[in-house]
Amino acid sequence: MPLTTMILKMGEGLGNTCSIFILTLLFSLPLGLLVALLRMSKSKIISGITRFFISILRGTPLMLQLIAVTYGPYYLFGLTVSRNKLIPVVIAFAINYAAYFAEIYRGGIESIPQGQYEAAKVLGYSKFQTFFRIILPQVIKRIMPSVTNEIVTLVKDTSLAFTVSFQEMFTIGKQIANSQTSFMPFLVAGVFYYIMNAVVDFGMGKVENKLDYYK
Amino acid sequence: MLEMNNIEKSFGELEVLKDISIRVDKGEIVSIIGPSGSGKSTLLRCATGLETADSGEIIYEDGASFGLVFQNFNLFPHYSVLQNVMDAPVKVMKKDKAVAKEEALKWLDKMGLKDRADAYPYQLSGGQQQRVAIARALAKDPDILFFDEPTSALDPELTGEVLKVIKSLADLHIAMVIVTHEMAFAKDISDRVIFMDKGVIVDQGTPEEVFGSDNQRTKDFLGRYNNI
Ligand SMILES: Nc1ncnc2c1ncn2[C@@H]1O[C@H](COP(=O)(O)OP(=O)(O)OP(=O)(O)O)[C@@H](O)[C@H]1O
Ligand SMILES: [Mg+2]
Repeated sequence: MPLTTMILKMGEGLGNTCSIFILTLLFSLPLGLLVALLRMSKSKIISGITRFFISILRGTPLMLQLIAVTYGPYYLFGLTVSRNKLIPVVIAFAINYAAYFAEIYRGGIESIPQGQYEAAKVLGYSKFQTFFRIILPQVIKRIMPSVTNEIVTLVKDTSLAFTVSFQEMFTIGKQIANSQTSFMPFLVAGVFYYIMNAVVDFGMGKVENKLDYYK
Repeated sequence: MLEMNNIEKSFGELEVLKDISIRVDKGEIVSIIGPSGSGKSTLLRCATGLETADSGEIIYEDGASFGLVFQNFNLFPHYSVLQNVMDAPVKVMKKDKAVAKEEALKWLDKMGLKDRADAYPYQLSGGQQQRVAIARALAKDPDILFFDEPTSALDPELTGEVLKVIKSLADLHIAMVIVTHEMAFAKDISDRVIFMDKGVIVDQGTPEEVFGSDNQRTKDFLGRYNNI
């Protein structure tokens, strides 16, 4: 197979790769914040349960979680596996990344000095205002480098969707590699991921610069 | 205007405030002095709702409002000087933005910082940051303003500028309660001085009375400051 055909074929899967990437971020970033707040709940029960789920999600392979979400309903309840695997794949990714983001948010929130809360309280800000106006903006700035790390990892992790045969770029590449007994598709995939991450790095660098107006 | 009656506060086994009663009248300037660990900060924190007293009552008469200036400023680093001062009036008191901005600039001017309105806290000296914090507290139109060691975190050469602006507030007729280790300042500015030790009020009165007190504990404490 000529290289250009290979690239075009794999390129068709890029849409799906980007769908996983963007949808995962869209859901996991807010979900992670919610999980972080539950994890820090004053209620021992809520924080304990949340902690347990976070430890499961971080302590087992994402590959396993992908398989569980995609095929679990079939094995457990006899439901048919949906033909559009994007939905289970994004659910698995979003939940898994939310667990990682939650720990990043938690670290960021806990690093904000108590004095910020006290100043806000004395000035009369509500708890909601204090969190969203005073605390969260500072947290976002502080966690930016860790979030960038996770996003770079996510770009590469999208390839794990091959385990449930979701037709994203890497899955297609692997199929070509098998049928053509060629190593070339993996090289092409590597270049694709590298370029995507260069874009991510550039974009996140811009965001970090934007937040550089204060220390 | 503020009445605190029989305030008790313990942290675990440690009794920090033991039956403290204080009243502050409209426009009155009260200094609280005393050794480290005597409970001065805890008293201000109870008065401002940052701690809950175990017992006793705190009454702000006629809905009097308060502000608090912290030892280490606690400015919001992501807000400019102007935003630090006008955000609470707009978001909490629901003041009109243009009005709040005008008032904020007026307070900053009074603090000698009008030209730094667009700066961010990290770009300011400690003394300037503390003056912004004072402007921020004033912008909420408090009837009583608490200061917890407002100059303790500053280099000695910067304390003067902060004490000067605090002094300039005296003619605004806002009551002030100032915890300080600056004895000369306390003596100079106060209508009344309260000496606290180990969670009790040991001595109180006019600056002349307290600084000339016969009370042995007061004398021992003041003896450590020989430059009054
Ligand atoms: N949140 C807390 N938990 C436990 N102990 C506390 C707490 N806050 C204060 N204390 C203790 O209470 C005592 C009084 O503290 P406080 O800060 O009120 O003293 P202070 O008079 O302001 O002293 P300083 O002049 O050093 O500021 C100290 O022994 C302190 O360690
Ligand atoms: Mg103190």
